[in-house]
Amino acid sequence: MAREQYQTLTEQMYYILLALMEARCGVDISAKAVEISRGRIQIGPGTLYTLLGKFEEEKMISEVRVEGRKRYYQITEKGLEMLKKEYERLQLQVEEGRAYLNW
Amino acid sequence: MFGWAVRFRFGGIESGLEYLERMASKGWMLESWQENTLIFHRGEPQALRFAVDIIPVGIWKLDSVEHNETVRDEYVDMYEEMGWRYVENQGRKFLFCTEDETLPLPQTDPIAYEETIYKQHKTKMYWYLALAAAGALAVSHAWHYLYLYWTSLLGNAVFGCFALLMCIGILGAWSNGTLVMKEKKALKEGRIPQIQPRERYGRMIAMCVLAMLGISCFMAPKTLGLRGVSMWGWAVCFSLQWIILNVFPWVLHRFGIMSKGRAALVSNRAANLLMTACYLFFAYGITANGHSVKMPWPENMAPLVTEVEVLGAEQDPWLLEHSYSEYHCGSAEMYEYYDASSDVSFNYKLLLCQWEPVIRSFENNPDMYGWSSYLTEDKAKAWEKCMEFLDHETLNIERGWVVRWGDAVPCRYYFEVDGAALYLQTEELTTEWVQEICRRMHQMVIDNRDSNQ
Repeated sequence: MAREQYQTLTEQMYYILLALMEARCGVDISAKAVEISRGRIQIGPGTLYTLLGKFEEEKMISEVRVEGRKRYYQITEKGLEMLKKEYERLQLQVEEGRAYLNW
Repeated sequence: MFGWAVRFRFGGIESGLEYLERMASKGWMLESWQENTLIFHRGEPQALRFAVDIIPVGIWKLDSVEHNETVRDEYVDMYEEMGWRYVENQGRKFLFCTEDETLPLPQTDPIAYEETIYKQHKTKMYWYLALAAAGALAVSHAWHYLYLYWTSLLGNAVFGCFALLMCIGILGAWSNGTLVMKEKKALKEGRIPQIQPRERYGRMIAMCVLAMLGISCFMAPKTLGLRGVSMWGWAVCFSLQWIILNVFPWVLHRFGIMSKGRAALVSNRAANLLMTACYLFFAYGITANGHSVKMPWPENMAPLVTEVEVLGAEQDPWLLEHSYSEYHCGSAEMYEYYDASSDVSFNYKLLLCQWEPVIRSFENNPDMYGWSSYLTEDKAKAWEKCMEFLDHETLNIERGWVVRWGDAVPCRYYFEVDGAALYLQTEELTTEWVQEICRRMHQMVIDNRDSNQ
């Protein structure tokens, strides 16, 4: 299970970052992730809260506004770069697999 | 509304999520979660799901209450927006419930779980292991100089702290270690471990009891006022606690004095009070020793070591049977006494020792020893008597002397000057008195030698 943190993203991280392409808060992030994945990915509040904290610490997302107790986050340049890297990595995996799997 | 209090009984009702769900289905909603007690209130039966989550350490910092309040509120808000209802929390551990069967659990990413919560549990386990190791090292060091620690108030308290740190370390490492192992197994299988509100701690309690009993056996030495009491004392205390927790509520409810729930809570509080009182009593008994004992070691004495020669040991079967280190500890070196005014100089040995072997040796071989005993609480009178004894009695190298003066106390000394031996039971021996006793013994040996020539 060892991996260098955030060099590859887990599914949950990937979809959270995708959802934060636009400024969103808490429950909206989770709902957007469900929408993008067509119901396949469910993000629990504990995981969401932890990952938002970690992403903010790593400057992959930033807080863009606060409304009452709701904090809105959006992906940063660094986060975008990591997301792009992950997207390309997954693309490469699919391409390389296609050559052998003939699907 | 207060309805019912359930105590975690010894050996443990597991405070599982399933238990809470079962209670909710019978109409008992968890209202409050204190250290050892869950308090439920009566409501309508509901089919609820419970879940526990932990705020990671890096996010909930300890430096600011306002910051913590904000973090806590945001955290709870996020859950409530996503359909979970906040029930209670203990520190970082939060308990939520929901009626929606389809809601995902709080933690859905095994890798995120491993990199945050699992990592923190592992770190905690390592810290407790380090604490246990440090405590064990301190205890083993103190054990080597046990007689030194046991004869002073400060020494007792320090030894007690070492032992306590070691026990806390062991228990903490055990409980976190078992949790870490459970989490590791689940993560290896690709599952997310389900955090329980309270891990099963029956074994922890058992270890705690054993540790306390073990320490008590050693911590109430015969030299202190609690001869053999502490082990029985602990047994009595725990038995009383069991009775208060299990029999009292039944009695109180049976005779209509109070409701079952209130009886359970009152008994729980009474048991806690009893145990607190017992701990304080034993701590006082062990450390206070009934009266204060000054550290009697003269300033110029070297640290204690073990093996030492005992006068007449080769003739005494009991002494031969037991290792010297069991009852004697002190420096094997001779110390120099020098008085410039009288130009007297000689070497002497002074050791701290156990009383029983001396008495036994004396009883077995009465011809080997002379005996003088003068018990009084008046220190000045005791000193006067001792000096009178040293002036009038004859010390020679063929016969040791056993002297008791002052109040009956745990401090016993073995003086050896020019081959003559003196066992002295007393208290608050000062440097000046040590010097004076040695000087007089030296003089007596010389006088005796001269008169025999």
